[in-house]
Amino acid sequence: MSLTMRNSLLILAIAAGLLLAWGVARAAPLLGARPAPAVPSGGVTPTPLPEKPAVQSPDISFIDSPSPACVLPRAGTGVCYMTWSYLYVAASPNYMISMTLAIDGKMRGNYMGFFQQNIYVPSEMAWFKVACGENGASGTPGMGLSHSFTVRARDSSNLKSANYGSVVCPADAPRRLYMPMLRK
Amino acid sequence: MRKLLIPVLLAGLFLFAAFGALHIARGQARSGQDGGVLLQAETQEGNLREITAPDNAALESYNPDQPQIGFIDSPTVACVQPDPAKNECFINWYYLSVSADPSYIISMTVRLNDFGYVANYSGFFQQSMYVPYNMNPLGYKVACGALGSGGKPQLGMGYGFTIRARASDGLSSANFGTVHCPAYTP
Repeated sequence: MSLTMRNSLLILAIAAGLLLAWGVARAAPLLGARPAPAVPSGGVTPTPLPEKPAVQSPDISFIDSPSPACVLPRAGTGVCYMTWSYLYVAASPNYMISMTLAIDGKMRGNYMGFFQQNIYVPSEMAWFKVACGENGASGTPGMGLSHSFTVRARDSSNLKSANYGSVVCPADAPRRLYMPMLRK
Repeated sequence: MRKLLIPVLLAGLFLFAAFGALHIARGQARSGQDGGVLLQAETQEGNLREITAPDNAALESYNPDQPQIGFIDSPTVACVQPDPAKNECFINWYYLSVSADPSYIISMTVRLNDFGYVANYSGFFQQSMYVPYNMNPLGYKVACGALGSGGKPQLGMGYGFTIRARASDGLSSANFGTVHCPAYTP
């Protein structure tokens, strides 16, 4: 190897080293570098090893769907509304992907998670029109139709939770308007 | 001395090239959905949230542990069909929330991609903004759509949304996602 080449490589190595040191010095504060703790000298009892962390298995909770209700806000319309106090489900350590609500087998509500570990739906966000039904339609005197519901939830590890139930509505039918008979 | 001239020139050339490469690499910062410089982003099942800056200058002072604007919190995007006899669904969020520090929040907008902007919340000398569901109790009315029309066999139409917040220091935070509605099956 010629002397010129050797000198070139030597200066190149020194320059590269300087560049590397400069880069590390610049990056250290960004990386949150801390000075290394002082190593105790011989004769000191070493600190015990940290406990082995417990194995965390993914989990999804039961769905909380208290007080399913069927209310008749205006008598004589035949229109009832189903609602709940609230709907709630949680996952750990995963995200909740969705919670869906079906009434009488028909999907009526879809609640989707957005980087969240639980889904909470207040009653105002779960308010669904159903038919009240005629008196005794579900076998209970004074009450109308019975509507079944299914609440399903899924988390990001594909664990699922579901609630099945039914609610009986108050009986009501639309009032009939009898027009007067007018003679010509 | 003349013997050292060529090695010094070579080393200088190398250093010049190295600095040039570093400069180009810094200029190639990732850009966000709205074209700004991407500072932080997360994705999950088709949802995306990100924090962007208008230019590269913010990259120098940005600390992801103490961001000047946070991710927008927009939990539980809902699409409900109150009346199964109507092709009417309503989209709403449990709440929308965003905060900035030490700057102010200038605005937060909600955009349904098929329709355009549907809400604009303006800051008024405030560092955080909280919009509960009952500020718009009905939600945003959309067509439920036919079964499978949004690509999910058990649901109807899917609607893409963008929630974007802007702070007084120019940083932006945005959430992108899609909500599927129950299908209208007459």
